[in-house]
Amino acid sequence: MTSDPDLKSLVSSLQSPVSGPISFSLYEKAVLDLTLIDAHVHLWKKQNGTVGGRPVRSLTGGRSDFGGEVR
Amino acid sequence: MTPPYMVDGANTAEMLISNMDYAGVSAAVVTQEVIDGNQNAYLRAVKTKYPDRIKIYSYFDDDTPPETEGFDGIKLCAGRMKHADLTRYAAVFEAAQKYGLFVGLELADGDAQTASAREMIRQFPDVRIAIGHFGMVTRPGWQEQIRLAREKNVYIESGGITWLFHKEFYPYPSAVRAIREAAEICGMEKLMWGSDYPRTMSEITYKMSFDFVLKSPELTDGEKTAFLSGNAKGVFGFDRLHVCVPVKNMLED
Repeated sequence: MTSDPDLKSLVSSLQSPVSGPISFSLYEKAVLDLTLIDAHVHLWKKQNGTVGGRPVRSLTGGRSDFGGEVR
Repeated sequence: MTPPYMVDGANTAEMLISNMDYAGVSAAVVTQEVIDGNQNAYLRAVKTKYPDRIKIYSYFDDDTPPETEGFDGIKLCAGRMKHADLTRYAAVFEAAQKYGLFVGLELADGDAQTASAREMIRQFPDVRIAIGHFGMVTRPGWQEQIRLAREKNVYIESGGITWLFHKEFYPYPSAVRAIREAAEICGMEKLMWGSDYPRTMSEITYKMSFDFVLKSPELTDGEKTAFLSGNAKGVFGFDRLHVCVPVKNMLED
């Protein structure tokens, strides 16, 4: 897998106004080369599921009510 | 629990895309789950807004026919349905075949559902099937789920692997060993990375959900490329991938 060659070339040529050519870490080079794909994420505007037949509801601060248990 | 900065309970596409941009993730497949509830309407809107970066599963339950319009796949939360026998849900596979969609399966632990799953896999050999949670890798008999991927149309995704190996924690050496073991069972070309964002992100960062693979000496560069990108590109049909430009954070030199 390779990413868009034009964009890769552009990114590789980026210059810092302070220190000259920008160096990229192994991680950054990998990101550019791999074009990562995440095969499993969740999204919801409003959580409205169930657990063991009981309702799951969003609360504040990242918490949810899982059928009476706040986690 | 989701990350505590998700203050109002919404887990939006805008937050995901921002995380993807920072971590360098080009595209994502949005699955669905019984505990989230039916998110079909929201996911259709998300797909419209981010068509090149997002693929979406429709939510399926026991009471309604599978929804296909506007979706890329159908999710069958097999382990949480009324019937354990997957042949009772042939309508899901028929709809996927008719409309060229993929099917996501999350099976009950071990081999509890692998026989009926194999039956459906063989009845619908042209339907791409992704088995989630890396076959519930920390549960006894997980390898039986991985063996399903010896069928040509079946793949395994690792959503939840950091949750399942959470007690060991980053960099998850046992998870990497499990990936190796799975590759020996079905081939590395059948395995795909998944993060299980956002609930897993309450303990780790989005980058950490994949860079334990990227940095592992136990996998070759080719294996990492296949696992983190190439396999999923083909399975889910991402034609033109967004390229993220790395941005240094304040901790880096």
